[in-house]
Amino acid sequence: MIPVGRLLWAGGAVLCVLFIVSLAVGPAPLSFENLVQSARSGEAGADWVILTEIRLPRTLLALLIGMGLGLAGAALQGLLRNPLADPGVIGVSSLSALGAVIAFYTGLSALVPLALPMAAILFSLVGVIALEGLAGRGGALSLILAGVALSSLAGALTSLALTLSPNPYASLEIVFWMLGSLNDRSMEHVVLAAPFMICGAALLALAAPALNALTLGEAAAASLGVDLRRTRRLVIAGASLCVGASVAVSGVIGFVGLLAPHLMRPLVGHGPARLLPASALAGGCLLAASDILVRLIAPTADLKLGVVTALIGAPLFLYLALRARTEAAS
Amino acid sequence: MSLRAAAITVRLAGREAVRGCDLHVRRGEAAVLIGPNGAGKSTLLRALCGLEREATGEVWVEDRPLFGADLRERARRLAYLPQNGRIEWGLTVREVVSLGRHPHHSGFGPLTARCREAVDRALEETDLLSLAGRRASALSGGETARVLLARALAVEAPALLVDEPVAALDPHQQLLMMEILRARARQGGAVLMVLHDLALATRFADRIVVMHEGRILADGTPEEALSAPVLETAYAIRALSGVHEGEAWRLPWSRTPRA
Repeated sequence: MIPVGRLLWAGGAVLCVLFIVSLAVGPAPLSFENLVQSARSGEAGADWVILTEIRLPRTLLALLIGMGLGLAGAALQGLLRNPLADPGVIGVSSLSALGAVIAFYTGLSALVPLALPMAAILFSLVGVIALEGLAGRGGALSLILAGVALSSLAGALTSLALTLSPNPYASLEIVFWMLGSLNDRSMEHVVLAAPFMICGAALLALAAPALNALTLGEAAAASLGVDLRRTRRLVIAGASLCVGASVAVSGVIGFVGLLAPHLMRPLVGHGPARLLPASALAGGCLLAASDILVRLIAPTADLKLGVVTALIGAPLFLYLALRARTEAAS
Repeated sequence: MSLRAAAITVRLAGREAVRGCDLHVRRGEAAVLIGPNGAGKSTLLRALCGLEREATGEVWVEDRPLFGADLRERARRLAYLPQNGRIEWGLTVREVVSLGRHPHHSGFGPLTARCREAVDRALEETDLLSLAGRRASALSGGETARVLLARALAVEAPALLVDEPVAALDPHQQLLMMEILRARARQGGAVLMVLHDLALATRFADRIVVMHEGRILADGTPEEALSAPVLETAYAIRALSGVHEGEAWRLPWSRTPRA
């Protein structure tokens, strides 16, 4: 096991490298001289505009969303004591996707540019309240059941919106949006998503010690002074804020929340609290790297980020599963 | 007297699983709660910890009421080891035992020196120091049971409740667990444990409380509490008994027709 502090430094360094690479990669080559000149003179040249208005928001969003998803995944796996839990399990990503689809469907997103992410965040908050109401005082199982129910309902309503959509172009737009992408995002998206994610991360951090105690099971944790209800509320609200804000600006991006904690467990150990910051860093690195790959593989054909994370994530997850199997056998 | 409970009643799914139970376990005493399946032993233990929602009655630890206090304060005064404990994730033995310090520590940042000492003491009492760095999920059943017990000991609460600590352990491990629990009582703790094994209960308990259909049927020294009429009423069994080296023993022998 690596001390968490050292791993966080290393992860931070990787994140910085990915940040710089992500700024440099794109269909238009940027000239360093032009950028320096723009910075000096204060006159925004073409390169400067590309850097600050296209690549910077995209890169910041990749890091933010990746970190949010990694953090939410680790916290949910800790809360539910289930290594298969991911932000999709509590149904919040489907619900916020439904919110976005409704914004598309009603044409609201065409009228007001930020209507789509706002609707997505609003729906994720509705999801939190619905989950709390449905799961009530029950344990992890009732929470998962409530999540599955919400998720199926949101999925069904999304399909309904797709089939009833008045023009095929809107349907296509909905489908593409749901695949997850960071193309053509602006600083407005960053400013919209960041506060929700920071609040969500803070809530999850507050729950960290209780998540550690929960490794002993709910009864033992409660006997150690853990308020189970408060812990569950903190994690659901925190994860929903992170996931809802990320779906709002990028569409549904799978596998990051599931994979990041699994990647970090062999490095920092299995304690849920220590896993939270490590998993956030891993998520940020994963998504930034995937978004760089998207632009390198097919700079012109609009390859979707959610597709790439799933294409990378599924084999990686399979590898981890096989390794866990051989470990269990030995 | 260190742990006292009065008029504990618990309703489970509309029926009274525990009815008006009074208990007291003195400081330095190892008490055993015994009774047939479904008598309400585990429910009573959970109610003492405040884990049963529909429970009434009062609990005092060291003469101060337990239920008025906040959750952490409660946890510092009363430790609880549930039955069939499992260790999720690949935590090391030391990490699991350290979780016992949760009520004493914010959970952010490293453990304080006092907490580390308590963890070391618990590991030593359970003979786990040599395994402290191992993954708890890779241990044998007996070792796992001791790790979970060490976690409860690390709380260093004046009162300790233990639910079936020796189920599924071999005789050597059973004796070891019982010795650890009795030693903790001798250090000044009030230990109350649920057991099914009459022989172990008679051998290790200072006091035995017999539960039957949610009520306390008998409460006294092992010889008083496990008398032939009590065993007949509670379990519908007869037991062999005797004295070895000055200590009484009981061995369940035959069933009697149920009343």
